[in-house]
Amino acid sequence: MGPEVIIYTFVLLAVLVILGVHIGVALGVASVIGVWLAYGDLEIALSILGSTSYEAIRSDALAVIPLFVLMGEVLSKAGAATDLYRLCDSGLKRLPGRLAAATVFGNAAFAAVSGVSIASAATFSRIAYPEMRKLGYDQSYALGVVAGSACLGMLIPPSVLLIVWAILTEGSVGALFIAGVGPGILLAFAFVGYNVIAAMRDPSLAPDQSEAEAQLPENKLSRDSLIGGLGVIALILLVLGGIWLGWFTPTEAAGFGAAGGILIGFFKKMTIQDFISAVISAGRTAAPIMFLLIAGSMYARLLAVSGGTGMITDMFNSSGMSPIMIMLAMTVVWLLMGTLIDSISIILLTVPIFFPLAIAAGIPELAFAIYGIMIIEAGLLTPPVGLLIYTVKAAVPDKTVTLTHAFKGAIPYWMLILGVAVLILIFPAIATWLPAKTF
Amino acid sequence: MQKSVSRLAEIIHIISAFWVLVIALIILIDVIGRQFFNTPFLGAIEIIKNSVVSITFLQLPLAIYSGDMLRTTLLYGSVGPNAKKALRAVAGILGFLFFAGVAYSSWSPFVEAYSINEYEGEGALRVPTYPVRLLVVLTSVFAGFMYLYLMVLDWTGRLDEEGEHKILQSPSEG
Repeated sequence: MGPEVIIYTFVLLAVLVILGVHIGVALGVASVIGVWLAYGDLEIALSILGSTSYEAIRSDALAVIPLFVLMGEVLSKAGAATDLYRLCDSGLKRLPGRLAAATVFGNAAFAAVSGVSIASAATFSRIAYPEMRKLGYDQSYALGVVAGSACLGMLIPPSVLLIVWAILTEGSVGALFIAGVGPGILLAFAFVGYNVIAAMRDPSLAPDQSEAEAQLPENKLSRDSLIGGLGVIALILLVLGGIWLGWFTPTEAAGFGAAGGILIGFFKKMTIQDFISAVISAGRTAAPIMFLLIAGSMYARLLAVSGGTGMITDMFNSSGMSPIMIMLAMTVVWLLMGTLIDSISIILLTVPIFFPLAIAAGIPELAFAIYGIMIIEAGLLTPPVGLLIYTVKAAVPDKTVTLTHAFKGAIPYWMLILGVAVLILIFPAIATWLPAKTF
Repeated sequence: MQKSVSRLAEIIHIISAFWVLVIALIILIDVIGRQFFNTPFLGAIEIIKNSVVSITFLQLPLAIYSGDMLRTTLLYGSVGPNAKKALRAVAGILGFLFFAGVAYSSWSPFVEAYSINEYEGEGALRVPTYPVRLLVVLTSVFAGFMYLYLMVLDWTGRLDEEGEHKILQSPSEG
């Protein structure tokens, strides 16, 4: 059977995913059946399965995932989220809506080290949201910033999304890390700019109570929080700077990151129990991601051996769609998928097909990666069913919160992400300039 | 039975979780040794490469048992308890078949690697490939078994309506 086998495989894959089959299993089963149909021989399909299982992740570059996940879990158990929030808060005296701005920076840094925006949003729902409410911040305003800023973290190294994307497209993890910096900074300032302007235009959103809150004992920045917060920022800088300056490969940076995370935990007098539970839960987070990567490479091989990638590229080329139309189509697919499944699965399912299309359309690799990650994360905020919104609603310790509140608050962030993403397509240099200096 | 199955999954999971710490340590020794003492850790890359495969496969059975594998709940969330059970069964059977396929297709490369003494790496540090190949076979058998076993628990009423373990806590958020 020719390349049309890809169509059958897509349909099968979509059915399996919707039925709730584990996404890695769905990818693997659909790929084996696809190769089987393409060659008419089950033995060939199985031998590709066997070799992929062993070879796909047998690479020292892939050690970055378990190592960074370990760093994130240790920091998280050591209370880094609260520390980052405290530190950012105390650095921002007198700014209108300053708890919101502290949430943007704190949550973005925490999301970057913990690797998963959903987990980070859940954590900050419990830390930052109650505090903003206590000072009279508007409900939607407070919910929106928690959900929106978690997306930002996915652009900041060592985000797992950047790693998975780089590996899947056989690009450089280090270059993609560096590419995320410019857009990440731009988006952070867009978010904080929105926070401040909204709070200035309508002070009821974020009443200025700096006098009252200075009295609250928990607002004092303790020595412990200072170590934790500065430590996490130092770790991000070490990882990023080390890769940028060529001191480390990403794998080495991840090793140092994990060791640094443990050191910070140790300074913060983390208990042995907490440490052990961090190590164990790191395994439970990393294993499913690694398994997805194995299944994802099965799928990539299927696309290659059946000629599917070529067929899809030809299809788009001969359809006379302009690059803008192609990008628009991808964007819609990503936004829709963000309402159904997690970001890593979306990358695995779509990027092997979208990437060659984007390259054929003349979009620079790194800019496309950053654009894609931003859109996929925006999908998690899309009304009315974005996963991040549900997470925040479920995690905040406030029974009066409704999904409508959360969506209303998230809309400005959703628009800002889309705005900055489009800006990157128009001016790819925002993403590609910094890596071009190094790589 | 349930106790020993989950216990075994936990033990191999804990081993592999701490193995990640060992990798971090090897990287530290390698980088520091290379930068400051001009003596890199020989074979660090070979060890790390093989460790990534081993760690992942050792962690899979517990991830399956604890429901950590990623999936969508689009359809699942909107149907009744019996349909949920049926959907779980479909996911379980396919999970079993997939890992049975991995185990089956990894077996003959293992036998071959063992009989011809397949090595990789060069010079002083040559690592045989059969141990990791065998590990992939064994853990895949276990992972496939885990999918079947969860179905048995589910259909004999030992899981709750959502297919979660009644005693064991579901994974912590985060």
